[in-house]
Amino acid sequence: MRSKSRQSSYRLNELTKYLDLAFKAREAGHSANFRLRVGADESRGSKGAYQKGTNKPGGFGAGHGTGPTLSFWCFSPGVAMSDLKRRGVKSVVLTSGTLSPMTSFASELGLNFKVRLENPHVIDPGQVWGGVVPVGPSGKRLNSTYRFRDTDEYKSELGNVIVNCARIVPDGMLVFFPSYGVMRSCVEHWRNTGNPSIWDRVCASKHAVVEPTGKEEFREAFKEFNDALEVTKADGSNKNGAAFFAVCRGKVSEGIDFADKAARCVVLTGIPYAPKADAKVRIKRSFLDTNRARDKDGLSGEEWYSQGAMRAVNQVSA
Amino acid sequence: MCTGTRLKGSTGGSNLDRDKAPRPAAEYKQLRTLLLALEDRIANAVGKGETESVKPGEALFDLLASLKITERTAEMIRGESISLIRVWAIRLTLTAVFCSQVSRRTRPFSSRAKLPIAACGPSPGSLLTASTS
Repeated sequence: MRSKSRQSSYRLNELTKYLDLAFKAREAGHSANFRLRVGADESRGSKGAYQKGTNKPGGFGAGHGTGPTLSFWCFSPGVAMSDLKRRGVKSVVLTSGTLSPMTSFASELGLNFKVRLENPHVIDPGQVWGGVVPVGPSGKRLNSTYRFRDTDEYKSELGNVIVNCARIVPDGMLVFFPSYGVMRSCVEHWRNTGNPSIWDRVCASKHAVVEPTGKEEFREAFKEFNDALEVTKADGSNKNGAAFFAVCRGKVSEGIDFADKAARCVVLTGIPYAPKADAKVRIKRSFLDTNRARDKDGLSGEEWYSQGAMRAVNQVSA
Repeated sequence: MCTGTRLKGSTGGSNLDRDKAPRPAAEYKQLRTLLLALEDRIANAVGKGETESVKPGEALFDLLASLKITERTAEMIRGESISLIRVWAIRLTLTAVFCSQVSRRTRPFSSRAKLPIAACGPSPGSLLTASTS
């Protein structure tokens, strides 16, 4: 009973907070930047929006009751920035390695940044090679689109590319996947395919570490990767350095500096487009398209969708 | 029936909270009715054969206004302290338990109320009174 009481008081606080935010947004004239959605709560995963293992809606029923969830979502980051402006903030300094293209960023934030600085990369172009690998060692196409990336053919071919890279790249190597699901599926396939398995062949050249989802486990994994980089090559061993298998928009790709020998090679296995069927993605695209019809300078839904994926790519490779 | 059970020292509320007048059950009943009505409106917002309904943001205020929840009436909830809210939440739970014991209710609160966040309030009676006046 006590826990229920606490839960109720907590939720009432939430309700008052959300009502307050909603009415304030309306008072400030921002309600046009919001959308009201009533439907299954997709954040509850298989219990909510979709049936497990399928893309079919599973109806309602997760969480508190059997009905749909009401969501009031803001689709313009400019709302938060205008609040800062209203409070009289004199200067806003925005720094990041992945702001480019800046014009669309400024447009989304609704602020005209008078001073803009875009620096070249710290690494000289002559010291870097970047390229697209369209086929694997057996000549099969490396197609990471949604429909193809779950096939055994793609996973085996990709695994063999990584085996070859691991053999020739010294020290640290980072391999990025579009999502945890794709990464888990590939690693599992590599562990169970071939004799020796693809995974064993990777591990013959590199100490392999897979990015975990938990914060504590990540710390341990990161330490394991760094420790492996310091291990001196043993006599008769081909192992040279370590490989970190990680996801775009994950912990490895954001905010960690892999300097010098920690990342001699970065492999990106696919462009991390946001899931098209996700309600927030669908509504954001539609919201931007509606605004674009009025204001030709704004981003279209498709442009926003592509730029988001490309920014994640930049984040990985920057 | 009065639900204003004094919760001496068990809620962490201040003396001021405890000295407040007890709330009649009718007020909670009114609030519960309001919340169930809101739940029904939400459930009916999605048409048959459809999985979702998306509308401009202003539709939220139309929905709330249809139940007499406006910025003015919402202020009555907003203005109360957290400790008071906690006291009322516990009182509501006690009411639910008491009601089930005397068989006046046929189903528990939690089985229907999909919006438990709003299943209690600082002054539900005043909320309704203000909204309809």
